[in-house]
Order: sequence, then C-alpha cells, then structure tokens
Amino acid sequence: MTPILKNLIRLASLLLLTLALTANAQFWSKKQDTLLPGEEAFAVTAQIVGQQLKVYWTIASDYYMYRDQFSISSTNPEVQFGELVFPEGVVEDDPEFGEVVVYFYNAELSAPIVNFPGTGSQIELVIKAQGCNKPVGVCYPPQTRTLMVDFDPVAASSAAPISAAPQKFSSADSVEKTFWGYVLAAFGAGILLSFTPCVLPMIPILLGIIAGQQNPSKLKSGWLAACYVAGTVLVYAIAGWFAGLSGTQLQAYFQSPWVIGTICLLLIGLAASLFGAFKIQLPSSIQTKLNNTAVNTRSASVSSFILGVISSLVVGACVSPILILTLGAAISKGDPVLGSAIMSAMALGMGTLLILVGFGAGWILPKAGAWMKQIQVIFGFMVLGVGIYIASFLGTVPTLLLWAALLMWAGFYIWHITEADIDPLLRSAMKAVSVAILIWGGMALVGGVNGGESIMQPLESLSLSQNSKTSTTKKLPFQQVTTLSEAQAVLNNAKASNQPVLVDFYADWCLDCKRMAKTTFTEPEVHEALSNWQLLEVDVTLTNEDSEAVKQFFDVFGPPATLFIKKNGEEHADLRQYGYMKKSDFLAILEKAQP
Amino acid sequence: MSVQNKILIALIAVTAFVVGVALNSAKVSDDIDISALLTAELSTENGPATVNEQLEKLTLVNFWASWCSPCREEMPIFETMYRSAKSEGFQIIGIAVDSPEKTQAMLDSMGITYPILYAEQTGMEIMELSGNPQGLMPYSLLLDENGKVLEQVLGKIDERQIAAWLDESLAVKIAPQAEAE
Repeated sequence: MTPILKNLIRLASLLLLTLALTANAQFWSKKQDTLLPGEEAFAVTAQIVGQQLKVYWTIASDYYMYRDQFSISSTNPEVQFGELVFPEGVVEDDPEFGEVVVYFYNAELSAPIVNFPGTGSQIELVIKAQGCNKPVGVCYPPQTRTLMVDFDPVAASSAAPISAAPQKFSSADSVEKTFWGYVLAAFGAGILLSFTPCVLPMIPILLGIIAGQQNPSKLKSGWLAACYVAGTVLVYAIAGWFAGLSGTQLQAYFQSPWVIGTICLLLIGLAASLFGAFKIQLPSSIQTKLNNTAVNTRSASVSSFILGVISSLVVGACVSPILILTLGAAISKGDPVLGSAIMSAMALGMGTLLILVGFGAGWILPKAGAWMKQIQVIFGFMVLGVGIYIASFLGTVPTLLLWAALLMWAGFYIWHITEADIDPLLRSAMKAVSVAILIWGGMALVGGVNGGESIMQPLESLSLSQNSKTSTTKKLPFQQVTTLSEAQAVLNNAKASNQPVLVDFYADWCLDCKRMAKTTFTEPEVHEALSNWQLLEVDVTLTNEDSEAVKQFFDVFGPPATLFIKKNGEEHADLRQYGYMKKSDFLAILEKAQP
Repeated sequence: MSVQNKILIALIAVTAFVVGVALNSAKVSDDIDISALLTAELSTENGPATVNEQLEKLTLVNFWASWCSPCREEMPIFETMYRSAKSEGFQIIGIAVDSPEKTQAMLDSMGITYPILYAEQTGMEIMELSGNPQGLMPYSLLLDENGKVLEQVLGKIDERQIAAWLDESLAVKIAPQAEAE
C-alpha cells in the first residue's frame, strides 16, 4: 500500500471516529438540549398475555403523549380488539379543549383480543400515537409503528383464561421462532444503545488498552476490542442466566462501591501505564522476540477481557430500563437459557461499535516515535476521565474538583508538548485547545467549590444558589429506613393515624435521586403539598438481603422510584414513578394521589 | 508523519468536530425549498387556495394541528397580532395538518379570523421540503411579499417576537399588551 493511501485511510477513520464521538457528546450531559428522533422519544413494545394485548410506551424524560391519540389495530383483518384500557394520566388544563390527559415517562395500555387469527402464532400490530416535548414546546407528527407480537395458539383458542398450568407451545417450530425473535430484537436493542452512556465510557477505556500496546497492528487492535467485548458478553450472559432463573433484577449488584472502586483502581493503573510509569509486558531481554510478542498479545488480550468484564459490571446498570424490557420475556417464562441468549445478544449489539472503534484505532494510531508517546498520555487522561465519571456514581466523591484537577493537568500537558519544535500553525492550534481545556478546568474548580456536580454545566451551582435564596433549602423530613421491618413500621404507623405515605427509593449512587433530593424536594410548594403525608425514604445504597427484601416487598426494580400509598395502606399503583420528576410533574401526580 | 499531515489531521478533526456538533443540534434545516409551500393547492372553506396568492407585505405561515397543545397556545396571540397589524400588510396563514371536522369547533371558539388552509395529507411533506425534516410542530416561516424566507421558527412564538418583526419589516409599532386579561 502506498503511504498516501495509508494516510488517507487513517484520516478517514479519524474523521469518522471524531464525528461519532462529537455527535454523541451530548449524552454525557444529563440535559437534553436537542430533540430526539421520534423513535427514541417514544418507544413501544407489546406483548400478549393470555387474551390481553399489552402495549408499553416508554416516553423519554421531558416528553409526553396524549391519551386520546392512542390507537391499536392489526394488519390482519381477522384480528379484533376490544376497547382500549388506559392508565390514569396527568390532567393538563387546555384553554380550548378543557382537560387533556397526557402521560409522562410511560404508558401501559391494554386491550382484550376479541378474535385471534385462525392460523399462525403472531399478530402484526399497527400502533398509532402522538406526543410532544414539554420544555421546547414542540409536537411530533403522528407516530405509526408496526410490531409483531407472539401469541400462544393454545391459550388463544381456549376460552378460559390461562391458569397456573405451564404454557405449552403447540409445536417446536413456534418456540424456535420466538427464541430467535427475542435474540434478534435484543441484538438490535444493543446496537441502539451504542450511543448512550452505557457504551460511550467504554470507548476511551478500549482506546487506552490499544494505545498502551507497542506497535499495535490493525488486526491486533481489532482482536483486543473483540476480547473486551467478549468480557462484556460473559457478564451479560451470566446476568441473563440468573435473571431467567430467579426473576430478580441485577442492577443493584452492579453498582456496589467495591465494584466501582475496583474499576477506578484498574483505570488509574491503565492510565499510569499509558503515562509510562510501567509497562504491561515482560522485559524483552528475557524473551526471544517472537515469544515476547506472543506473550504480550496473550497478556494484553487477558487484561482487555478482564477490563471488559469489570466495565460492563459498572456501566451495565444504566441500561436497566431497556434491559428489563428485553429480559421481561425470559423472566416471565423463567427460562435461564433464553435470558442468557437475550443478554449475550444485547452485549454483542453494544459491542459492535466497540469492535469498529478497535479496528479504527489500529488505522489511526501512529506506529512508533515521539508522537506515539504523547498520544498515549492523552489517552491516559481520557481513561482517568472515565474513572472520574464512574466514581461519580458513588456520590460521596467531589466529582467536579477531580475534573478540575484532571482538566488542568491535561491542559498544561498539552501546552507543554507544544513547546517542542513543531510547525507554528499546529502549535497555535494546540495552544488554543490547551487554553480551552484550562478554562474549562477553571470553571470546574469554581463550580466544584460551590458544590456543583455536572462537568457539562460546571457553573450551574452558581446560578442555582442564587435562585435558592428565595426558596427554602430545607430537605424534606424523610424517615430513612434500610430494612423491611422498619419500613413496615412506618406504614403501619401511617395507617393507624390515617395518613397517606410517600415512599421514595434512594441510593447514594443514583444521580437522579440526588438531583431530585436537591431540587424538587427542596421546593416550598412541595413541602406544603406533602405536609400531611408520612415520608418514607428507603435507602438501597447497599445491596444486601435487607435492601432486596424491601425492593421485593414493594415490587420495585430499583431507585429512583416514587410510590404513593393511600390512607388505607394500598398503593396507587398507576401513579408509581421511576426516574427524575420536576416540581411541576411531581405536584401534578401528587394532586391525583391526594385523598 | 510529516508536518503537513499533522496539520491536515488537526484541520480534519476540527471540521469533524464542528460537523458533529452541527449534526447534533440540527432541528431544522436551512435547506428550504419554498416553492412547494407557495404553490401547493390546499383546501379552504371556500375551495382550493395557495399560499402564494394570499401573500401580503409580511406573511407568517404557521403549521399546526388540533391535537398539538403548544400550537393551540400560540394561536390566540397570532389572532391578536393579526387584527392589530392586518391593515398595515401583515398576513398570517395557518396551515392545518389536520381535517376541517377536527379543527372547526376549536377555530370558532378561539375566534380565529386569519386564513386557514388544510393540508391533512400533504402537510408533512410540505413541512419537510420547507426545512423541517422531522415534521415537528408548531413550525412557522416568516415570508416577505415575494415569498422569500425571512425567519424560520420551530416551537412557540411570542408577542414580543412578532412585534419585533412588525417593527423591523413594516415599521409598525405595537404597544405590548397588558399581561393581565
């Protein structure tokens, strides 16, 4: 290959990589400044349980859907549905139409299937809906989705609702189809997850591993990426097996301080080796050249695999809502093999981008020389950045101050390497970058000192603190519990005194929980609205028997979850919320839960 | 790697960064083919009509639908502004991506008097060609008397914005309305 061609390919890969990273950089920030495509803002899945069709709309935060615009039909004229049943929604006052019912976060619709098709085991659905983005104030065009759902011909033909008897499939064929259908869907879901915080933090880690190699070939870079992905697949397969077997959710196990601590240490080690503190390889004097390469490759593959295992343990938690949806089938059937297959397929889907990045890195990275050294150091900084991102899950870590230190360090480093004898044009560009990074680091320092948390909005705390002068900063007087017996005591107490209870699932590592505690729960209006409520905060920071028991008792996947218990001790099941709620949303839901 | 190559790489990286950021924030497109909007034959109460034949000195074309709450919220403001600057050559054309049956009662109750054209089937396509590839609503275009696009707005428009346009293009001063009604 001619050098020009080689360089061209390098440039093209660099271009693609930068483009992909930049275009998705917003996912690092919690706020959505731009509008999502309709398919991402409003996601739908469907399932047939017995003779009921259930349609689950998952609505992105800040988006809502209209109750009166939902419709369900089938392309098969034989199929007929009864009347749609809606959950209770949020009533919005419309100046023209009076009250309009809308849904935030999710909407679960159901409809009885009056007539099943005579043949086959699948129905093609046409689902229509309309929705909008609240803060921007724009609406999406009518959404039409087609979905295939499976049904059990045996259950469909029998008039009686399915009993406790295990489901039987009429033929092996339909089992086969269902199985691969799930696996394919899971793989697709994995690919869709590529550009989310579930996968993006893995990219710098992977690049760090590859850059740490002496003269990585394209093949070797790709191979290391594959090893890394294999690590993630293993973890997901095991997680899926247990989910299928026991029906439990695994999210919380992934985010213990031990796991997070371990990966942070490993990342610091990886960064240190990229900085040249030590080499992850044997001294060449001991090995013959051939052996050395082989041993290197083997040890690099193994460490890549292990980092894959551990990083998927940590970032795995962020996929939980989609993960629960995809796993739902395996959990409901209690099938560990299906669970495993679904999760592996999803991990493979998520790994597709990583493997591409791996091969891409092989093209881009220079082979040797001084430049390579500096690239390694910069990758080292990126790896440390991922470490800080992951450490921020713990909550007790002063994230912004760490970011400030890292950014300043990196900024001064880039300034320093520009002093070498290089072209003035390039040197100026690098100095500009370095100054920008230094300013960002400075803002992070100021924000961090003022108690800010987000690296994307380091100075947010300054404007927040100004606003909060007018509002109370007092926290809600939650009764904090960690065990089921304590929680039940509060519930019994409330029932005896005829009071409703707000149950809030909280964990130190749950960013949205903390955000809600700092914003929504400090608003005076919220304090006032909750004045006659008993407030129960279940702290599930630690994953142990106690926290699992509470979660099982309330049937909650994990934090952030908000439950409303009526005076008589029963839950407003339809009002249960997962995820962050703004003051207005929270008050609207609370309004409906008011006795 | 030579110095030129390094510079080239730096340039490409910067370009890719800018393009990436641009892709990221692209809600509406600057690539507007206005002819479809101007010439499409749309239906009204009084038979077919086009936007072109209804243009005035300054025209605000607004895409809306009855189910879209933000659209409904801005329409009374449009009506007020329309009434106060109609005589100076200000026109508002509402394009309903909807059917007359669904919208009539609502238009009556809001007392909308500016022209409404219906594009239930073709509205999405027209919006797409007019710089709104995702078909989001409300979407508005401010046109001059020749149909040239002056402004492009996705989302709600407030009185102050319209007043500024009127001042700039028609030299019409509108006193801001009292907030309490």
